[in-house]
Amino acid sequence: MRSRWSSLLASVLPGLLVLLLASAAGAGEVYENPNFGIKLRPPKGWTQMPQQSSEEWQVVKYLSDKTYFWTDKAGGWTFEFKPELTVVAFVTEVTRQKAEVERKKEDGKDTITILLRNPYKDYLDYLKRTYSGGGYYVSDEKDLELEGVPVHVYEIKVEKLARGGPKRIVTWLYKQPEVEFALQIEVFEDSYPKVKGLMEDAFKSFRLIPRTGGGLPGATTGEKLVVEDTTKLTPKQREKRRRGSERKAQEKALKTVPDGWDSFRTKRFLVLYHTDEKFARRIAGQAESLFAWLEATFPFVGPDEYVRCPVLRICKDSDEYNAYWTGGISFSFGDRAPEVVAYNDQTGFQTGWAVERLNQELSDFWFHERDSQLAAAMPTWLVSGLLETLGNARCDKTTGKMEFRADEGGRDEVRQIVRSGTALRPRELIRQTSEDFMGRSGDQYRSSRWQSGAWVFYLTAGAGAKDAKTKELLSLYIRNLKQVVVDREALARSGDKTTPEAPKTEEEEEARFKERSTLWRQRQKELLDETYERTFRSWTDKQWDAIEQAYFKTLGVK
Amino acid sequence: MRSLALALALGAFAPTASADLLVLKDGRVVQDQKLARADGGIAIRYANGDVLVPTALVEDVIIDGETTPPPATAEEQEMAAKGLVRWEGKWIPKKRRDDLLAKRTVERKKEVEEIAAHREWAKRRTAKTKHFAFEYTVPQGVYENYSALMEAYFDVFVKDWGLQAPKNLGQLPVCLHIDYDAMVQVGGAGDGVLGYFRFVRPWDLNFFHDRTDPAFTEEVMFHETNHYLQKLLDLEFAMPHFPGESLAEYYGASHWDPVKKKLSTGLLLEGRLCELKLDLQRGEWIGLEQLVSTDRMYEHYNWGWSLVYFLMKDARYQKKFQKFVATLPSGKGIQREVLGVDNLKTVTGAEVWKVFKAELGLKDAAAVTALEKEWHVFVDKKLQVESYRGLETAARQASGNSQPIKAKRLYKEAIERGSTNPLTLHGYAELLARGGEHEEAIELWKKALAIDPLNAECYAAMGRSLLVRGDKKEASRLRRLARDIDPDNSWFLFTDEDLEEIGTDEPPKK
Repeated sequence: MRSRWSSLLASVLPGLLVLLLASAAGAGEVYENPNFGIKLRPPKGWTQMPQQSSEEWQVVKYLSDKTYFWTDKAGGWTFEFKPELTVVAFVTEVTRQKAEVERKKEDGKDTITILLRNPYKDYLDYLKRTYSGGGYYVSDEKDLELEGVPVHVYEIKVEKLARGGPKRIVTWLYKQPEVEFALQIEVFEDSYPKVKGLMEDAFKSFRLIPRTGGGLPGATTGEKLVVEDTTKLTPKQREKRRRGSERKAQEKALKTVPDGWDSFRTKRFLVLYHTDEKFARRIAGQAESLFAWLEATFPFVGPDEYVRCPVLRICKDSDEYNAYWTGGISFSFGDRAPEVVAYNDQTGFQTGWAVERLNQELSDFWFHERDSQLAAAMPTWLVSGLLETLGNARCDKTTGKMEFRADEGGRDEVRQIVRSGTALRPRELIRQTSEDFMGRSGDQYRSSRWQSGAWVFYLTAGAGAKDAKTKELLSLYIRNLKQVVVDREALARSGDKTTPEAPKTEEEEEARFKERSTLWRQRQKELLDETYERTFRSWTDKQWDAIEQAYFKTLGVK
Repeated sequence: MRSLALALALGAFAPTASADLLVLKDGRVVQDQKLARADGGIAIRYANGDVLVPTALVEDVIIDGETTPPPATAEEQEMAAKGLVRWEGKWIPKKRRDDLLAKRTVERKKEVEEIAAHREWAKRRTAKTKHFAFEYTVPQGVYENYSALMEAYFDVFVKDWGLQAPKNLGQLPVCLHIDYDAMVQVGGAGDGVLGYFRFVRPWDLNFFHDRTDPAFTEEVMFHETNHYLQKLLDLEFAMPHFPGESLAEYYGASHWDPVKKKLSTGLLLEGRLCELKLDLQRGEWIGLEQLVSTDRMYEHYNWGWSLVYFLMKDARYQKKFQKFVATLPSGKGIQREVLGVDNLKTVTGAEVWKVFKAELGLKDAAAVTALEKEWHVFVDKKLQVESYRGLETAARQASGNSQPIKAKRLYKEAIERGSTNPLTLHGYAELLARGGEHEEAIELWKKALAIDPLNAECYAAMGRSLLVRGDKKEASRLRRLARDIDPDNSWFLFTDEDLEEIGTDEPPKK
């Protein structure tokens, strides 16, 4: 019952496309937003943050220039935090829950779409659904009046299981008939007295100004997100849709880019950056180089597909990166937003975690754009192995080509696993279902991850990539996987389409339950076995032994 | 210069549609609705119909402007003519009575508002008992029950395990939340967490009161409290996931007899047993070594519970198992690891397995296999779901697994064995309605609503059955009434036309 409704449901955000025509404020300057008809003076030196592409409620966000510290007396750990000022708008019309039923004819069939718009009801609802900094409660509240505008003040304490230390959130809610504005600042509880004056100055600077930017966004119309199965479209149709979403994402990113940020375009990316240009160009080069490598290495994956040019957003540091993600719900149906976010983590381009993550996100994006069906069918060992391998790849500054480095930490782990006698031979590893791979404990999962990383590195960039017997192995495997998926789909289409009769007894129900509960695992196993069979049918145990011996030798173990 | 004026004082944040206030014994509060006294309880005057809340469910009520009845008897009429009215057995001037009544009403209103306000964490109540320091937002009666249970539990566990609580231990802070949402929001542990014990200092125990299933709340409370009690074995030791969680589950199944003032521990945990039976249906078994030697796994809660239950219920193994648990923190020759927080030490799964084998006397693989087999047979053949609570759990599970025939049988058996849980009646009714048995379903919903008249889903569901039966008007009213009662439930937003268009055989659920 629940599942049927869930599948019909398209829980659509209110579609409040906030195209800000705002004048960005620099240090201590006034921020104005003629669409919402507001202005305020953020604390001096605080930096305006970019907005997430899916963000539809936040008007503007600022991050303090000063870092505050808190030391956990029990554990002795010291945490740091930069206070944030966020302005959120609750347009009365948009905050109303709506349920709509739409009926239309598509391809001669009647379709019913149920739209349940489930926006935030008010500020506390917004906080409840977006705050993830720990357990909190409203510790105090009062009403004020600011030049004739009623203001409701919330003081919120974040105490239990507070991530990185106890905090206080102070929010001034400016109430207007058509819209409420929440101005919220979050600080460490014990640094609150130091920041209180700054906060109140910013809150008191808030003013309503005439709305000259086209009125309240989303008050009467909304952007409806349409859930569509794009796999049924032709590559050309998909390209058209993708170009549309690419354009939209880029337009919004450019329109909401804060003061102090710059941009440039490369062949495949719109780069928005808040670092020095040299670093941004290096990151962009890395991204270009990775896409080029993927295209050259897997040209047979979705060759006719259009890969959207993502927005590549490069934040100044981890604080800015983290602040970028706070306060919103990154949630959407259909195609994912073509945006990748990176930052300068100051740990070096070669070894930095931020570049590793960027590589992984980009490769995942590329595979899904080129062939979402194949990407979904890829076994866990392959996905995990590719992510581990590509995470450590870096673009050479001179040649612009990808250079792969072995993950020495990971190799050490694999050596330990081999010595403990629990290592899998590659022929076993590649037949693992996702359940086998994940295991029942974190240790089992980590062990699988290290082993798949080492094996895929061996085939992609290690000695195996130079060995005539294995250098084409990964490509061959992926081609075969795709073919198996296509064949199985064709078989399913031609098979029995009659709906099985409902069970009539408890025994029949039990049997059906057992069959269904093993069905997914069984299908996955069949997919793995069939791909294995097609790829290795001519291989003898001896050949496998030789290859595995060579592989383990590169790890320095027998 | 800007002017900032403090406009309103506490409690005047939002104007309410009605000043009436109803507080239920389970902690729920009804406000913004007009109330009236009615036969057998309090009627809530929703836009789409009255709902009668029986007196037995009512903690307190304030009805704004409630007046005393007009003089009814001849004596009252005669005295009224003299300007006198009856007040607490005496005849006094009407004005004086009105003044006294107004004063008392103000005082009572304050009291009732105070009760309602204590639902908020900022206005939580606090109390200390011998071993615990409580902070709570549940009604006083609910708190008193849990605090008595926890003290009794403390004493039983300490006695059973021969523990000596350190003198300077102090009282453990315990946070008892009004409901699940409050637990998630204030407790901060995230969705899906039913309770937790913060095992690093400052220690802190959190759980919530599930008004629809208080027995389940007790399970969670006993489980989480047990983590604290396990600490008493050694304050500097963090018990590994196995046996820590499994033992906490074992003690989660405890029962307090308030008359005999006796706590029974180690009862059959039928919720977990249902999970095991489901695994068995799928043909999935967990091996002894896998269970004991794995550092963390979900199966420590269900399969782990069954192993502890099996060992603790068997005189051959009970002492050995208890010694195994006690050896982990303090035994000699054990390889303990630094946990990295709060100066705590622990042991790895491999070490747990080593100690387990040694203390249970499992000298070789054959002995391990024999014990495993004995445990598996015990789970498969000897453990059966019997109580109505177990049957309810099994029914919900079967319903969720598309086994309506089995689910209906289990629901029926649960009700026959005494279940009066409105959710059980509702679950059964939904299955019956889905199979076209609308009359029977409607009767069950009526029963459920007699027990919990504010269950909006029951009204909406009953409306769907009435619609199928052709009573369009009443069906529509009930769906709108459901929306009046629970305006936050998105599914009640659909109009009659919407529902008619999309069909009514599959009811929308929250």
